[in-house]
Amino acid sequence: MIVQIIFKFSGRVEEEYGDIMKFRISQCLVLSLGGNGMIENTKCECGHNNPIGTILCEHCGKPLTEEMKEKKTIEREMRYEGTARRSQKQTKNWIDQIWSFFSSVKVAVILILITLVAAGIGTIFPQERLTGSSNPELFYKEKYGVWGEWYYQLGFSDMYNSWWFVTLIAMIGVSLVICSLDRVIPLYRALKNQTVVKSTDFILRQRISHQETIDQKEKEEKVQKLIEALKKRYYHIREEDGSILAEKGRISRWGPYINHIGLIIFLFGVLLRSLVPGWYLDQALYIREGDTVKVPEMPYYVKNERFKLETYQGEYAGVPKKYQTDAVLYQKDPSGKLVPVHKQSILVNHPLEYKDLLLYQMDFRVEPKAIKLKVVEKKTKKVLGQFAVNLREIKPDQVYRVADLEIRALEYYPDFALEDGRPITESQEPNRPAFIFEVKKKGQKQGEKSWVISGQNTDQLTPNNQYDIDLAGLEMAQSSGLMVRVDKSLPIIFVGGIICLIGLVMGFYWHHRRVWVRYQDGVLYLGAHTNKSWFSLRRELDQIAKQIGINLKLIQE
Amino acid sequence: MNKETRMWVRRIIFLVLIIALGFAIYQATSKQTKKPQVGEEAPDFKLTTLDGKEVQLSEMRGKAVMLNFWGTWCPPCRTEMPAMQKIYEKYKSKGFEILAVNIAETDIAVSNFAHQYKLTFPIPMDRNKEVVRLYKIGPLPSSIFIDAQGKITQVIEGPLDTSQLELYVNQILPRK
Repeated sequence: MIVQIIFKFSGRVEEEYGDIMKFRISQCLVLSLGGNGMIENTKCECGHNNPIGTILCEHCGKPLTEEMKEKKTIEREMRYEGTARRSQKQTKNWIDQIWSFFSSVKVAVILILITLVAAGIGTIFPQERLTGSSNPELFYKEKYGVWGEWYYQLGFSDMYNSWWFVTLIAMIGVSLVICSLDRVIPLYRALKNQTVVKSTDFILRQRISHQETIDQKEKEEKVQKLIEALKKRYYHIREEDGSILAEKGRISRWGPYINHIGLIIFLFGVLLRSLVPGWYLDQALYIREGDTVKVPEMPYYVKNERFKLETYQGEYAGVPKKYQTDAVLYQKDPSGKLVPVHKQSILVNHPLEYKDLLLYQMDFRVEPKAIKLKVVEKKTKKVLGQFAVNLREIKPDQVYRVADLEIRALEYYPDFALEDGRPITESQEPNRPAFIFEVKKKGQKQGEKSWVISGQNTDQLTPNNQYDIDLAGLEMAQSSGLMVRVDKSLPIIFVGGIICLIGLVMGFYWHHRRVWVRYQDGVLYLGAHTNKSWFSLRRELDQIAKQIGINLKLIQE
Repeated sequence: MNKETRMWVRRIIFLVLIIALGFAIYQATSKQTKKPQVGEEAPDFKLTTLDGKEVQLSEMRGKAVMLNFWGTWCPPCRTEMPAMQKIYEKYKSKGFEILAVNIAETDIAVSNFAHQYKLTFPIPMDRNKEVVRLYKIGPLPSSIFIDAQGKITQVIEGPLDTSQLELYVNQILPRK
């Protein structure tokens, strides 16, 4: 998920800010070379006072810096309308410095690259929580050798929760916010306060520019025609003192920022998962058929009433076709009694849903549930009957009945071994179950002790016994593996994603086009700017020029 | 917006971002290491003992409690049991209690073990490993010492002998 965000994000960055860095560097050079005189000189010839760091006069658009005045085109500077951005302020206190750091797209790209590489490394070996191992230190060493050991030691085994990874993600989030604010606020102000009458310097330095000598009378007519033609193409026209500003598709400029707002909401949703207790849960749960198990960290209990596994027949015999768990969800009432609240069959892709809880079918296991034992009368070699011992639940002095015999469990060792001549168990798992039973007839006072050790003949331990207890088989139980999932962030992430997409659409499907026209001293000046697809703008202007008889040829045929 | 308000808006944005960042890092990283720590209140739980009695940790307030996690299959657990029994007998009347939580074993195995070692302290049965998860118990045996106010004073991984037990128990015995 995180990787996905980053891909999306990095894509956007390159597209949006691709060459901004160069611009920033060049500007820094200007500032440092220009010295004091230049910085103080922010008052434009038109009389407007511009903030420090302004490249193009906010009012008339005239280039302000020496470097700009020498440039033939100001296309690159048009990206943010040549306004002063906070990150480029000259005098910097510590807040400005942090702001400048995070407002740099270069920094953002580096942060994203580091995160990408780290996220990639995090997938080399499975993460701790997926291994299900209670001792990860040993697990990685044993399974993956030296590499695994280092992997664990360097903290990659539980990377997505490590402080440095979360810090990286958080820094990307901060960079996203600051990069956006640093650009969108001046841009918004500049576009909102645009003036119609622009300096001819500004018009002529546009990537598309044209000048033509026309006499006064002709001018009136041509300009009027031009306005009509532009209006037909859905331009919004503003007129002032015989100058024109035609504009359309300004919405396109907000696309990237709307997109970023979406991403920030998205990230916030992801963040909430670890911020709010009970907001997010992702755990595996194995329940044997018939068992009721508490749902971790939730006030629910879930019962596996039946687990069904269907397999394919014929060529693909044995390949699972369908897993199904018939589950009942319980909640404890105040007296502690379990009350069913929901009943549902869980199938792959059809999780149990109850309020915020989701239970997915994920896995299944077959485990020995009970061991079947038969009682043989030694003399006659006659099998008197069978009984089953549930390996997970044996009460002290539990009695099993076979024919007229009472068989009492005295001792049980799930993983039998001898230590100093004493029986012990080596683990909790019934790997080698061993029992001591007392067998007696009904009414009999003193019975006989009988050993059962799986994989071992115990006859010689008790040669004088009347009865013999032998293994008759295992009763297997199917455990259904469920994924317990709670994700209250989903709606937030969803909304963030939609806003993100809206931003993309705004940015891609609209073009912000502007045409400036000014008439001065018998010369008609025309300049045009777009934030993308220049060819299409050129074609549009050529067509208009042809209609109204302006000598404009932007596309060579 | 004049300069003054703009400056404050920026400061507030900054502050919010820094707080969010710090909190996010703290939360995300503290979650995994949320093992109960010394000085914290011991998380409460309720279990049924081997004898079928209900025990709740919070009802032990006013007593010094040793919370022990063990299994019959764990050799170091077996070695520390006699010491625990000895200390239990010595300090029981002075307001000391042991809760020796058994991890998901059968009643019969635990019962036999308790008889064999002549254990008299309560043995809560953590059948679904809920309490083990609650306390994020790693290796066995693990012991947590809790004072009369319900605060954790020691977290020990590995077996304890009589002298160590004496030391830790004396630290938490309620003063009369």
